[in-house]
Amino acid sequence: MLAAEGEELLYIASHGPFEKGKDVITRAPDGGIRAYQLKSGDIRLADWREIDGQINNLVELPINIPQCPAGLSHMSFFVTSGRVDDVVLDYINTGNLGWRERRFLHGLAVIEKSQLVHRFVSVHGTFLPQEAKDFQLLLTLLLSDGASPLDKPSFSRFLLSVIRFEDSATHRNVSRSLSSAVLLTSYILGPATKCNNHWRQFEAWIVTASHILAAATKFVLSDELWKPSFDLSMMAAQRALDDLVDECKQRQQFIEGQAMVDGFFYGSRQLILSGLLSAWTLARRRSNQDPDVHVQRLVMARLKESFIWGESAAPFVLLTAFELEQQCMQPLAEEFVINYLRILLMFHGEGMRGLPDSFISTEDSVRFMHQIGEQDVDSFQGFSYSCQPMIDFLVRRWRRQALARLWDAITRLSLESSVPQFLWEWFIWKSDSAVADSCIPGQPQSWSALLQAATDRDISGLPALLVKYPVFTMFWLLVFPHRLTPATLALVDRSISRSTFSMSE
Amino acid sequence: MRFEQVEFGKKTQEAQECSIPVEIRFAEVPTLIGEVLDKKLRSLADQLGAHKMRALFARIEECTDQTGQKLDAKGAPIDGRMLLDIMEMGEVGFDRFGRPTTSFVIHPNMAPALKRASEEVENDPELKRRLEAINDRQRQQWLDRENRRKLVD
Repeated sequence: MLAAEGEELLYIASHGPFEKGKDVITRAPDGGIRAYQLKSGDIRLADWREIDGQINNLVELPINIPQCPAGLSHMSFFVTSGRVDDVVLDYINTGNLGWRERRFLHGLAVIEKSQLVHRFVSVHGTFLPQEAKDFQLLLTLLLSDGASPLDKPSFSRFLLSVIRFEDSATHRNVSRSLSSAVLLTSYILGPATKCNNHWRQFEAWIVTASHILAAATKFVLSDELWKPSFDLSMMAAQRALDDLVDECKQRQQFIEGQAMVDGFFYGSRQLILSGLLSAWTLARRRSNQDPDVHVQRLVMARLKESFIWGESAAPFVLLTAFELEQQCMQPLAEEFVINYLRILLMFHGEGMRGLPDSFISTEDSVRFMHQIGEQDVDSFQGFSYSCQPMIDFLVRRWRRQALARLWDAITRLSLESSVPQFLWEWFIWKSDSAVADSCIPGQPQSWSALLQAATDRDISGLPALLVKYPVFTMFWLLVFPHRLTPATLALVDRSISRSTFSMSE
Repeated sequence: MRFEQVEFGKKTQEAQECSIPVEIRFAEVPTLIGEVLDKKLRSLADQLGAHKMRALFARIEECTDQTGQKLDAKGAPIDGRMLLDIMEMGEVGFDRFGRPTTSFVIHPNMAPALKRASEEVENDPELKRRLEAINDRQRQQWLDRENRRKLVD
C-alpha cells in the first residue's frame, strides 16, 4: 500500500528480530524518511507495555541503512490492523510530549484499522476486480482451503483481472495495479499462512512476481514502476521457502493428511521438496551464503523416496540435479536425470499410456498415474515436452553412451516445445499466442550435431527480464513447469555454471 | 504447430475450427428426453465425427499430393494390381513378431471390392509372387529404418 501511495521502500525487516524497532523504512514523496512498526489486532495497555521498549527504539534510535544518509531524522509510525485502546493513546500522547522535549520532534503517529481501510479503498479500490465473475474468483481464492495446493490457472486469471493489461492503460495505472496485485495476493494467502502451507505461498508469490514481469515486459515500464512490487513478491517467495526449510529441518517424517492413502502422494511430495530445497540452497549459494549441510542431507534423503508423477516433475528433477552437481556429486546428478528419461521412455513404450505432459497439474498427474477417479485424458502417448531439455542436460555433460542406449526409444517420441509468440506471455499461465514446436529426433542422430545444438542453444528469443533475474527463473520453472524448454533450461544451466547471480539487481 | 517436414522444409499448421450447427425446434423440446434425446445426441456426434474425418482426409490428401504417394484409379474399381501398387507405395511397419502393423482405412462401401482384389492376389501366382517381393522389400526397408535409430559420430 505504501508503494502504491508513492513511498519508496528502502527496507523491510526480514526474518527474526526487527531492526531497532523498525519493520519497514520508506522515503516519502517529499523526501522525508519514515519508519513503521507493524502489529496485528487490538492493542490494550498490557500489549503496549510488552512492546514499550521496541517503540522507544523505533522513535529514538537513528536509522542506519546504506540508502539513508546518516544523521537524518525520521518520522515514526505505529501501525495496527486492529484498534488502539484509549488508555494507550493517552500514553502515546504523553510520550510524544516527552520525545519533543528531547528533540525527537516528529514523535510517534498511530495508524489504526479504520485509517488503513480508508487508505486501502482510496488506493486499491479502483483496482479490485470489476467484473462479477472476476470478483467471484477473488472470493473463491480467499475462501479456498489454505492447506490445498494453489489453483495456478485460476490465480493467474485473477491477476490478469487485477493488473491493467489493456493496451490503453497508462504506465502509472499499470504500476498502481501491480501494487494492488501484491496486496491482494497477501490477502488471498491468509488461509495458507494460517495453516503454514509454505508451498502454496511460494507458488502464489512466484506467480505474482511473474505477472509483474509480464506487465513490465508488455508496457516496457521503467524500473521504478514495477521493481518495488517485484522485489516484495520475490522477498515473500523467499520467506515462504525459508519457512519450508525450517519446517523440513524439524520434521522426523513427511507424511501429510491421512496416512492410509498418503502413499499415492507421498513420493511426489518428496520430489517437490527435493526440488524446492535445492532451489533454496542454489539461491543461497549464489548470493554468497554458505550452503546449509543439513539441507543438503535433506535433499539426498527426499530424493531417495521421490516419485516421477509426470512431465511437470522435470524442473524438480533438474533443480535437484543442479544442486547435486554443486555438492560434487556429478555422477549421481546425471544418473538422476538419466533415470527420469528411462521412466519417461518406459511409460511411452508399446501398450503404455505415456506420462502426463507438462501442462497437467501435479494432482491430476498423480490421479492419472494411479488411475484414481475418472480420467479426462486416456493417453499421453507419443510426445514429450521434457525429453529435449533432458537430452540437452546430458549432452552438455557428455553422456553420449547413456543417450546412445536410450536413442532407439527416444526416436519414437515427438519432441515438443510450447513457445509463446509475445514475450510478455511467457510470464502468464496461459499463452494464447503459443506455438507448439514439434520435431522428430534424428534417425540416425549425429552426436557432434547434438552436442553443438545443446551447447549453442539460442536464448535470444527469451524475455530480457527472464535473462536478467536468474534466481527468479529458477523458482519460476518450478512453478511454471510448462515453460521448461531447451532455451529456458540452457538459461538456468548457464547461470548456475557462472559464479554470480543475485536475487535482484 | 511448427515442424520441419523432410524434403519440404519448415511448416506451420494452424488449428482448424471443427463445429456443427445445432438446431432445437420449440416443438421438439417437450419430447426431447430418453431415446429421442439419445438419437439426437448420436446424430450430432456422427456429424461432428464426419466433420473431423473430412478434415483428416483433406490433410492426408494434401500430404500425399506433395509426396507423390497418391494413386488415381480414374473411376476404375480396385483390383489385385492396384492393391499391390498401393502396398508398394506406402511405408509399412512390422511388430516384434514380424507382422505388418499397417492397416487400410477405407469407406465401408469399398470393402467388397477390396476383398475381391485381395482374393485375386491370393489366387494369381504372378501377383502372389509380387506380393511376397513387396513384403520382403518392405521388411528390409523397415529393418533399415529401425537400424537408423541410433547415435552416430
